[in-house]
Amino acid sequence: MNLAAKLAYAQLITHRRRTLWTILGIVLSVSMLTAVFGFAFSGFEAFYELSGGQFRAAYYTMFMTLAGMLSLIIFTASVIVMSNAFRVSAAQRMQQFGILKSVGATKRQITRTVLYEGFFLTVVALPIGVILGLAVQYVGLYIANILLQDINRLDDIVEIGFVVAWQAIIISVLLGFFTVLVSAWLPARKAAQLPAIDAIRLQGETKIKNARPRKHLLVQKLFGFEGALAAKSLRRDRRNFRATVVSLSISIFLFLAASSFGAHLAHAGQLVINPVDADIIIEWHSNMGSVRENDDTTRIEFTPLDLAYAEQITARMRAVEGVSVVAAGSTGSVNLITGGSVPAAYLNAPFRDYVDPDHTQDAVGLRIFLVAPDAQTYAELARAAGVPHGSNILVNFRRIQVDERWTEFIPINFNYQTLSIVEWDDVLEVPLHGQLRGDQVPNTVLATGHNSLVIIVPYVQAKTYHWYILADAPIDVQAQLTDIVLDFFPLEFLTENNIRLSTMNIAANNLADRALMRLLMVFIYGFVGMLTLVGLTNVISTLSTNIRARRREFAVLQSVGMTHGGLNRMLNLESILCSIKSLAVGLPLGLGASYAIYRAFTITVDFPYIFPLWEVLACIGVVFIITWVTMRFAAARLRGGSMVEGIRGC
Amino acid sequence: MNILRVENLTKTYGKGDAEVIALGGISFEVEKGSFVAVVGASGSGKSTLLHLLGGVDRPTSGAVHVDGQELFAMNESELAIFRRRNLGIVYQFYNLVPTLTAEENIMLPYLLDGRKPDGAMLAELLETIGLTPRAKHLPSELSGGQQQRVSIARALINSPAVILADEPTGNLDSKSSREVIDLLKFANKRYSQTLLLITHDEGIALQADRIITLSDGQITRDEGVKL
Repeated sequence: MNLAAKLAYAQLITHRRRTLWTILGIVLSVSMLTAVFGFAFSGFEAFYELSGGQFRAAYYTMFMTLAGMLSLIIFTASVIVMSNAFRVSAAQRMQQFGILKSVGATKRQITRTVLYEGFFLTVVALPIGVILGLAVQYVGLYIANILLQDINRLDDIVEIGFVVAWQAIIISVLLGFFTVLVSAWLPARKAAQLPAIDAIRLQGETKIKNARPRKHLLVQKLFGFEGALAAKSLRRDRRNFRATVVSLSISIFLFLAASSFGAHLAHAGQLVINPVDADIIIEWHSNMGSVRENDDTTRIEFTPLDLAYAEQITARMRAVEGVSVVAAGSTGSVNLITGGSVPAAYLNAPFRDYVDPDHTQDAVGLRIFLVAPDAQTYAELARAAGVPHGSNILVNFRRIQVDERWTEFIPINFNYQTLSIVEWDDVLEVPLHGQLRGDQVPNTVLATGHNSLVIIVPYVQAKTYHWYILADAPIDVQAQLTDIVLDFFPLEFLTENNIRLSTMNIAANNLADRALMRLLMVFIYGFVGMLTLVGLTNVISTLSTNIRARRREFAVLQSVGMTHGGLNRMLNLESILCSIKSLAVGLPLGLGASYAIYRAFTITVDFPYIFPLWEVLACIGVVFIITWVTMRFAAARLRGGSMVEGIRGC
Repeated sequence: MNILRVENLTKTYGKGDAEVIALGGISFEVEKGSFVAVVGASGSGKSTLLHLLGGVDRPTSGAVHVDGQELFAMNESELAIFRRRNLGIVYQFYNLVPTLTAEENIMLPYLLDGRKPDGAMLAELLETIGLTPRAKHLPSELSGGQQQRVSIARALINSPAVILADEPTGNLDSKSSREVIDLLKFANKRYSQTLLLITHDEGIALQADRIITLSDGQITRDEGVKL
């Protein structure tokens, strides 16, 4: 072993605690990087397979973009945590470098000891990190598969495979090594630049800026002289606070990005997969018959379902245990079956551009369904739209797949309170009393309208009627529910009137879709949990480092007569100022990231941006609390030590 | 009148076989307005004594009375308030607060006491230490000697009963050392400031009214200086 390596080895042995923390830091970051990429690859494979081989490029871009962003975040956080571990003992370290220089070590030799140190640390920590990361990935997927098990019990086997991504391991290893070097190299470079004697004396350990004097009258009034002291130290000792502010900002950024990621992922998933909320669908379908009239014209005829009976059937179904029902009938207006057209002026610009790009048509063909939900559901929807009973409510929403991308439109310019629907020579005027967004209406009701433009009405001549049933035990209640309908309309009646009654148990059909949704949620919570963990570790580590590094300053303040109460007041204000500063940086960054993530999702689906209001509020609350608690906790631990030791700086 | 009275002051570190006696029950008194030098080899207990007199450390047993008040009968907060009003401490390594300017460091004990800043008093002190033009500089922008003069001004600001100085010249060149000692002597003469100074330097000790010699935690000599 050469001298530089020996010195590095000695460093690691003497500063056991620092060594341990650093190894822990590397293990943590490498394992997280490995796990994140592992999850991303496994998730990609599972999604790709479940979606039936569609959107390969889009999913790949989405997963890898997200994994890339996460690893960038983890890398930054790790550098901060680790350079903190090094900073805690920066003083002793600088002294040592100073002594080395004074006996004739060159800059290069000092840098080499640091490189060796990084090398030793990585050699120990990397394999542990990779193994731990794979373990985390394995356990995570195991848990995910357990969560998917009740779906697997039914029919198809849905399983996320354990993918060992060698790319992930290489990336993590490189990033981990780089992290250590950067964090160890920073203090070394500083020591290398300082004159030897200054390094020994620890002069120039912190650079303090003499900011222009400013009166802190308000601060002083609110927090006393100690408050003014806090404001000054925050303004002048930027270096010490930068780490704290940076790590807090990053945590805010992380939290907003991660939760936004979750919200948008859930929404996007819902858009792509959109399973109908039902286990059983019972359908009444009245087939049309044509009747030749005396004057040689043809009249189309069918037997509508009397909605009063439908309500009674629904009520009896709801009485069955473990069952919830939404029912809806549609389209009594015969002339709408083939779709109608709507004057172009009624349409909002983006939708018109989509359906009629050249603006050549005066009326645009648009399938419109009148849907009458069951009385209870109708009442809920009318309340949501803020209109009285008996109103017609437009569901101003169309979701259309344009190329490989799901796009949401608000098609109708609602200023036109009456919708004129033109079909052949007839014009049907439908007055509109209110409107709802797509997400305010159960997707079952939308499904009744065949996902065309839906107008919810209190009454229709129901040519088709659907009961959408969610049941705890779909197979057990299926026959019982069908019998309820047959009680009202016996089989003979149905046959006679050309009515088809069918019962579909789609619990099994929806399996893959639901599995996909569940999978989405598993991934969301996994990511948010991991990121929050990184953020919290980071903030706690930098803040307590900050306090420990200022031990001497606190001791001096106490020795010239600052009381415990005064010290606490000072720290209170410091934590408040620190929080405000971090929020001022972190919130805009986080919202920016949240928007960027939203844009990443819109590669596959198009939907409006979800502003993370609650997350922002949570951030503000948590930042203030965590800063305050950590500072007070660190300060309380310092108080345990004696003032004399603090003054001596040991 | 005795402004400082030390009774049977003992400080030990560790327990059992590892027990080290830093101070072995020493007693002495200091008259108001006098200049006392404490000398002794390193490890003789000088710094321990000074920390105890300054109320920044607590003894194993014994008592210290400053201006008639027993230091260690007070709780931490009372002691902190007592320190800022009645004691001025000057350390070897200046120990200025790095984020405060020279004048802010000087005013620190005064403002901590919740008093209104007194411009005239500050101006006089700055003048005395010869740092009026550098009042708005941060410690890192001052030389060692200048920093030490700031810390002496900080010790003087509340007209304390006693100034305790722990090797105030230990880290300075001879010119700066002379200036610092002259400043302390000036305060001693001009304001009748009681001064207790720890030093290695025989030349400095001889300028005091009285020299106490410590050895292995005991007072081995205590005599006045004839000029």
